[in-house]
Amino acid sequence: MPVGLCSSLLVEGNLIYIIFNNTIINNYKIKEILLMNIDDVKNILFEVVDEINDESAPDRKLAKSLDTVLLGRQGKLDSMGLVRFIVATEQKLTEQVGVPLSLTDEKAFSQEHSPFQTVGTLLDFIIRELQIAESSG
Amino acid sequence: MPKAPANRVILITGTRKGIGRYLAEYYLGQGLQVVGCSRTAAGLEHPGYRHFCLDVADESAVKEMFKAISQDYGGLQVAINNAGIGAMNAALLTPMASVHRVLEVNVAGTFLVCREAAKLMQKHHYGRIVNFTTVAVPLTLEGEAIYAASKAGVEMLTRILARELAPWGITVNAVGPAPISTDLIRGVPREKLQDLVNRQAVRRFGELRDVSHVIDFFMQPESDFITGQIVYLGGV
Repeated sequence: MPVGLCSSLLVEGNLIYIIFNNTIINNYKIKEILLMNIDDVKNILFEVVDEINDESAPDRKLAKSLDTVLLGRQGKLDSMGLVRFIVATEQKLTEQVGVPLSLTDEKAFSQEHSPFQTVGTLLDFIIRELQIAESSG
Repeated sequence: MPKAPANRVILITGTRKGIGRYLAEYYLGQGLQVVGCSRTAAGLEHPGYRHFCLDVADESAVKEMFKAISQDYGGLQVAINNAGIGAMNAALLTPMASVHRVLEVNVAGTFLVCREAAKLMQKHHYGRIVNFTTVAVPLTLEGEAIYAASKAGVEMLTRILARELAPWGITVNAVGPAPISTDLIRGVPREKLQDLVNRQAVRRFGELRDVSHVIDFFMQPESDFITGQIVYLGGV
């Protein structure tokens, strides 16, 4: 086969292959969490609840519920406890998704209603973030 | 109180040369697993050493490094923020590009590594972070406005992080070496350095072992009550 023709074919072939593969792999990873297992994200948050509870006094333990308050006086976490909760969630999500994720960019702090109000609002925020990651991926 | 873990894994930034390279070899000699980083390869071959080529101000690269540390070592006990750049110049002749770069590496880079290191250390309720400042801060040295300002920033980071991270058993301290013969001060005239030494209580140039001695002290598990401290060498 002439070298020129071979290169052209290879480049075309590689291009399609690479784009196809990246798209499928990236979307698959994210859809796996988003569509197949939204519960996985919830479970991650509940694992974090367990982790925090292991370190907390009996009267400061959190319930495994989407309604559990994380932020403010009604909650059982102090400010450092909330920091610990968010960092542990980031770390567990990063382990699952495979790329470093941040839940504390400007967007999180500029929302009218903080995503860190309850376990449920944090779940919604994470799902939205992953959808954004999917559409831009 | 749970027993503090022994120091096993240590991260040192800026290990290609100078103090960072010395510290990497020093702690390898003590049997620690050393993770190092610099913008280019370190050329340090040792079974206990792993190198990452990155800029400490590059958030995604730094996060990737910490992800690898978490996965491959299962934790981190000590982080030494040695990476830094100098800018000795008259203030009126200092270009803004230089100002931005010094602040980016020395302040933002130090903060970024502290933040990510603390996230790993937090999990195990133990950590030792050591930052680098300079005697140029207390001596208010002419010609070092931006460098000294950046290190004054590092000192404030050190004090505030010490408070924020104390609940998790993480201490944050800083060491401020007196002039040591490294590349950082290679361009400084000898007589200026001697003037500087003359302002110290102990009038000699610093040695690399002076720096590791202070870091050894900060690193000890028994130093859990020592945090937010700045130690200048030479009696400045």
